[in-house]
Amino acid sequence: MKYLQQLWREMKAQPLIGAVTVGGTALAIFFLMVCIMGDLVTTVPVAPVSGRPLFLHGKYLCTQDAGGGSCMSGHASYRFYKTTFGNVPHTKAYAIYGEVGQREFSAGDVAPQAFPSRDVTEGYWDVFNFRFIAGRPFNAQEVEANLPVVVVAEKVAQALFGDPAKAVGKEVMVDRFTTMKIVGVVDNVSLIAEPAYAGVWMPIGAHGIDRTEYEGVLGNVMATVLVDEPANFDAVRSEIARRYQAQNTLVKQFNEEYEIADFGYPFTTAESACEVSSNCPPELAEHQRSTLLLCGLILLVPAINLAGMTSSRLRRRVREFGVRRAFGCTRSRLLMDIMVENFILTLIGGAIGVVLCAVGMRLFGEYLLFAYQGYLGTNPEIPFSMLFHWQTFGVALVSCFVLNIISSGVPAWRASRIAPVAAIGGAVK
Amino acid sequence: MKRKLLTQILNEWRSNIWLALEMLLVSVIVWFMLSGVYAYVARAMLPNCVDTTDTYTVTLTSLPSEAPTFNPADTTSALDATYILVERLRRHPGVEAAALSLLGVPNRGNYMGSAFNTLDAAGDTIENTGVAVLDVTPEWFRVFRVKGINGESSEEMARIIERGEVIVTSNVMYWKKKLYTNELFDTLMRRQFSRIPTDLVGCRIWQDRDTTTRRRVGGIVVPYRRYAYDSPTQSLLVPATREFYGSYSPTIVVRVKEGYADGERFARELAAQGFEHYREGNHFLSGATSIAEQANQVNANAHQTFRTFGIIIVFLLLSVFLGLLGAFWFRTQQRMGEIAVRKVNGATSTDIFRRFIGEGLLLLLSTLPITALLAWLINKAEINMPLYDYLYFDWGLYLLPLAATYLLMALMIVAGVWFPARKAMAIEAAEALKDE
Repeated sequence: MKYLQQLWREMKAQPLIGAVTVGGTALAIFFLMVCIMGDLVTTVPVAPVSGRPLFLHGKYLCTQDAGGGSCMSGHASYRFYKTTFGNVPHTKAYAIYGEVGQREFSAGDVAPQAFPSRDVTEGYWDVFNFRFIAGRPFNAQEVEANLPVVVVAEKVAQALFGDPAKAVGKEVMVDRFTTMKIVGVVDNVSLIAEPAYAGVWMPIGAHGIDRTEYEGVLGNVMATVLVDEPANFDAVRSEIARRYQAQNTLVKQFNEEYEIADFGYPFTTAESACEVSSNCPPELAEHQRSTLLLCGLILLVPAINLAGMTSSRLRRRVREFGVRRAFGCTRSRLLMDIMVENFILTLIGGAIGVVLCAVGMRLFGEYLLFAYQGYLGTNPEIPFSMLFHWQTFGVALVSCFVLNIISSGVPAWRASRIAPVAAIGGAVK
Repeated sequence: MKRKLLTQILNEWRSNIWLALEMLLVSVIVWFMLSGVYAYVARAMLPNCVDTTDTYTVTLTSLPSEAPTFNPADTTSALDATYILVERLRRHPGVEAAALSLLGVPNRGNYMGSAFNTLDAAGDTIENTGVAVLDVTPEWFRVFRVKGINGESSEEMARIIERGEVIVTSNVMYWKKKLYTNELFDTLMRRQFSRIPTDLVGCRIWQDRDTTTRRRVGGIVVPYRRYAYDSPTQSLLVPATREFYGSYSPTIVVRVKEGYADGERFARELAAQGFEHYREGNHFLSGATSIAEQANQVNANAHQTFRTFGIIIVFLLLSVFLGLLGAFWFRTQQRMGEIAVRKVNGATSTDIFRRFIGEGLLLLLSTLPITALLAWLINKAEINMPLYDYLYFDWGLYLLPLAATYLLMALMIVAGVWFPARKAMAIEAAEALKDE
């Protein structure tokens, strides 16, 4: 309580300095959280990608010659993932799916509209935990028979039929010529939930992708497997890696000098998020280093700022410290008091930073986090559950603490070492 | 006055050291980012052999078997239909030229690596060069208005490909210094790789491991860049074959006559009439997209980098602003007596204001030598090379961003010191000195 009183008195005496200190801290925390969230959106487990920590992904595949001089890479074939990701012990489900693409949909008198659409296997509904508003997912028999059935997001059902609940059982015209039947309606999915993102999902093979088109290992699909529990994660990863190696026989049928690159397939969610191209391995460590460096700089610049200001503020209180020391206050006590006082100030700034971040993300999230404006025509909604995830909060709190140590550590240490007589006499500057 | 200012700055070294340290750190980071942006812009301004204005890619759609108009008896392949429809497109009143290409479509980012061996007059291999292959047809030169570096027209370049010869970009021997004298190589460097000795024309080459097919180099073009911020790629332009398109589907590209491109009339017409008028078997042309418009997507990563850098720079400059505002606010309070004495001795309010601003700017200037040195070392250690995309060092890359950095910093300093300096101007000498 006494710390708060002291702070209040200081703020009243120096409102501009107080505002600058709090404002500087808030700005630093806001910016730091934006950076951290930019990173977290790809890994944090939120519905329908709640299983992210237990996912293993096959996004790209690279085949190259022994020296790595030439290579062929891209997505892999349906049969490749069926063999490598299918029926692995200790997994709950696996999904094979294509890239998201724009397709035209129309219903009745409603003019054709383009929505992001994805071709998926039945396992997709088990790997990703979608919430069904109405109807059901399509099943293995429907995928196997290439039946023209689709699951649509609430937004799509709304646009085509007005009432999402009444969309189930209705027919839609896809790309002008193909009639398909809606079997289920799910909650809208944010772009940050990749690879669960789309507006319409249809059985792989029913319309766009031909499951048998690619005979080799390379092709046009991706895959994700959901491991049953954390303890089995490494075992599943090793098993899939072993299956990848076994596919080299097939690779050599097409080009005897080629083999699957030793990039460390399959990848975790964090690694997969760093896969920028198909012909080089994800550089997770490099990415983490640069993120750390950026965060360090974001904290360092305001810390230097605040240190200068704390130092000036404490200089005004030299006499007070002298008197306290003369009355028996120990150096460590004085140091601790100054640090705690500053920490409270930093926390106030940090809290404002968090609020700014929440507001900023709601208003400018798309601008701050995504390369495309209105990527695929859908605004990526950032769920509050992600914004107020313990990791985001944890980072903000730890950052406040670090900022406080850096900015007030040296000035507080210097203030605590002032000789009482010199301080009271005004001989210290 | 400047000496006095310097002495005053030195006297207050304790608080100034924090400010100088912050300015130094921020200056180096801002310079790093601005030099990266400069490199992007410099690349975008390099010449490109293709002119994409009024050019479009055309989409070929195949009817699904369940479509009511699908004809199961018709077995025309998509490739056959492509060849027939591109011919038909050439007769469209709005089309100036139409061609097929896969790797030579700008703003797509398609790339296929290869290597070729250059032979001397005796037939011995004298050089092996890694290149990007561009599959081109004679019409490709007309669509993208590609000219030779010695002033050859698109028609002349098209005839070279018709003869079955190959064309290289002028930077193709960029890394192969030993082929030419140092002087020539330096000339190439200076001209941003846009010229090459014409004696490469007439050389015979063979590609990859195919030693049986030897081709004559028939011409040289300015380097091809796949998108705005792409580095000039060393490329080999080879005549496209039907066999190649059998394995890799080509894209139809067209140049639309000026009147037709305005308001995208061509694209609208094709979308509306493609199914009726441009249909072959179960395939039809369903629409056209402007190639220039496709730039947004392919340049998205570069624009994201600009945006990220912009946000970081704004954050850092705001921090500098807040730091100076706080520090100089304290100073006006601490130095009330000093300011009053100056006023009593004849200093005007403007003098006081200038003194404060000058103090901030001098402090910034004191960091310049160290910033310049650190920036130089960063350049020398090639830490920023990935950002530059391996452009060679030039003074512009170093000095222009440095000048821009210090200009921005100076603006922030003036903004940060402004408010405290105005407060200092308003100090009443008699009031401030009454205790004395």
